[in-house]
Amino acid sequence: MSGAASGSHAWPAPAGGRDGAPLPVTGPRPGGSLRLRGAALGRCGVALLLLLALAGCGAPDEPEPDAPPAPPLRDVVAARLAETAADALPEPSAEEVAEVRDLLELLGVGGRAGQMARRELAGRDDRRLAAATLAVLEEHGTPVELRRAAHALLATRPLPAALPRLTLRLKYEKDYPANVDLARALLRLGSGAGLEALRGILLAADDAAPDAAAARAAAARALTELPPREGWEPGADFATDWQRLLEVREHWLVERELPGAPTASVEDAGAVAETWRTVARLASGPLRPVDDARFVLARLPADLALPVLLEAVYERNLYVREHVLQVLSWLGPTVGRWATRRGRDVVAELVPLLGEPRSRARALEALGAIGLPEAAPALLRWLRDGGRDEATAAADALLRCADRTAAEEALRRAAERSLTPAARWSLDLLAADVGLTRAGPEPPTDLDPAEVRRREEWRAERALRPRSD
Amino acid sequence: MNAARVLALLLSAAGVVVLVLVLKPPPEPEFVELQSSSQCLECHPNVAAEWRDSWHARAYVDPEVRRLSNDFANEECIACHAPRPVLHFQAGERVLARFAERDLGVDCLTCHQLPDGSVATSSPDPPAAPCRPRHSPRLADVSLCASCHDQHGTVRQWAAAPPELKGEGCLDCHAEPVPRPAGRMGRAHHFPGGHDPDMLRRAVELRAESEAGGRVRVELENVGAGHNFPTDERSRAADLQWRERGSDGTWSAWRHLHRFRDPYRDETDLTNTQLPAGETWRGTVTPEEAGAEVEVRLLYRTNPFQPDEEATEVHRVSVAPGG
Repeated sequence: MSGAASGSHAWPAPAGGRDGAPLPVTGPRPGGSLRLRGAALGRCGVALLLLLALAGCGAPDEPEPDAPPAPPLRDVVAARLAETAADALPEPSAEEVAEVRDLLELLGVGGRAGQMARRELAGRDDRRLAAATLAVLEEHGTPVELRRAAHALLATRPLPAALPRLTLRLKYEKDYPANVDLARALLRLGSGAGLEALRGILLAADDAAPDAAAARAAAARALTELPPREGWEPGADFATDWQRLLEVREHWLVERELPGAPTASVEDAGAVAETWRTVARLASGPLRPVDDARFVLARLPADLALPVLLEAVYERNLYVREHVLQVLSWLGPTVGRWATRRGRDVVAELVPLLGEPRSRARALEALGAIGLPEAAPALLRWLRDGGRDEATAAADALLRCADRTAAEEALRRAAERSLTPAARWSLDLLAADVGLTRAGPEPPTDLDPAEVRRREEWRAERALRPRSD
Repeated sequence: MNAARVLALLLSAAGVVVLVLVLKPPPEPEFVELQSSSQCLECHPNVAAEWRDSWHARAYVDPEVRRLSNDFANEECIACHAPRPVLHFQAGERVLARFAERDLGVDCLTCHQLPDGSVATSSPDPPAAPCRPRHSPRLADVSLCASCHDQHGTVRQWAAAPPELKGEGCLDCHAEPVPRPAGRMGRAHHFPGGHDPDMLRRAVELRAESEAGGRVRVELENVGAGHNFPTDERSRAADLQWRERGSDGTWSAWRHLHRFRDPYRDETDLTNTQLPAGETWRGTVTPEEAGAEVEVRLLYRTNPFQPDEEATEVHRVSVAPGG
């Protein structure tokens, strides 16, 4: 395909793939419509029928593949929200939030007033206090001193139900000292989502940030709270603490669990309730709540988030399905590795979603991203029979999960139709990765460079694919 | 039955056939379900040329959006920069990202493809064509644009605007009527907006005049945007700046007077200072030298960090020495 450049944008060549073959035509075929007309004119005589029959003889229709059955969609989120309502954090009243705000301010004053505030806070119910403290943090314009006090309080009284909303603070909290306590709170809840913040603070040479030096010292101390490992003595020297941070962070990024430490899971009723509340935000029309929810769900411990997400993919609401599948794709091989560890057949759980046309491309993406080669047979069909969007998603997905056998079949099927440049590039990369082609492939000239890079990253990600044996 | 009767019967049948063939309506063109907007090019080269010149066409490949979206690592941006067909969703629903040909951005199928594969047209009597055009009132309705352009509140701002300032819909200002083949009228597909200096000039009026005490009063009125100014992306910013000419004839550097902008979500220390339709912002400047000539200008930036020299100067007004 050759793109004709014009101005700042190049049109792709008119319909067709590498070989310029026309795109598949759907709808009534000429032969079929002529046969209908022949029936209508049948009384005009045998000669006419013969004439029309001859004229109407087109190529016989190829049998359409069976449409996959529609998946059993249901109101998953509403049901789970109702079931878990009692375990979710309570909704604090405005007065309650104002009281907690005042008490947090007094903590900063110190002296008798501070001691009084500390005693008052200590006597409060954990769940109500966490809910009100989170509300203070979530208010627009809460002063930094108050945010620091709130994060310090939540770090000393970690509550699993607070985990999703605390995780969201990582997206908005810019203050270094507040982030240190936020990361500590998350660590105590079995989440490594704050480790990146600790690493960033320790690496930052940005002395202009408020209290940067003190924050770095606090971050260094926080490393002693990392999960233990044989041979590592927390706090003995910074170099080994730093090394431990990198180890734990790496493990967290790949597995979404902390090595050798308890992790928040579906056993924590409060955490589960709040995770479902987070999932419910994916249905929002405005994107902000959606962005927030995706941010959180992609950073929760696997044992907490994945069972919820794998149930939520069958939600009737299109947007929830779409974004749950998107989060599963973001997590990618982490999902496949977790499923292998936990004995879940995640491919079988997701494949039925290919029967839902509006979610099919996302389901293809998720199936590919998790990296299990067992997904490939379900993807191959859409490479040949899917529309342009589905075929591109299928090719991309195959790049991320297919083994050599599936790759051979993919190339065979791809030869039967025209594909987008993106899909062709994915298959070229796949062929090279499994050794079906010798030389490194050259990206298509008619594909956007960012799309080229995205697929090269997926190829590199194949090294992280879970082993299913 | 003798031969003559058989012949007459056959001739009658043939006559009927000829009659049917002559009188029957022309066959519907073979339906081609469009898989790619590139298929529209052959029949609609003029519209395609207009679209190619539009920011819709650059929605996915423009270097600035790439920078601001971290090369679309922020995937939430993709839904509106490479959307699935809007008409596949209910009116008012937000759109979702597509997977193929994202580099075409907001392309033909984005606005025109119907769920059954045919294409929507605003023409009430569409011609027969392989793409099977069908009249769809939604095509000209604000809800079509709202799927993307209300994410930052533009359509809600328009709905709340004074009636005399907002026209009937988005197309009134952003898609002018143009003649199309066969004598019908269509809409231009350039879709000018914030990148178009003329649109910006028509949107707001800048006034400055001297007042007592050597001060200069500055006003910016949103007279023609029909929605907030600036609007849509939070990155959009408009800055009022001023400078004075000293008694030695040299101009001072430009000084900041006011910024109109909806801040990013994490800019918690800022508030939304966009100028709603019909409203006027008022401020004053006090030159260091009483009675000095003052210039005020309005710069429009597609992102808040854009340097002055890359911004669009929308208006500039002068207040003569001594006012």
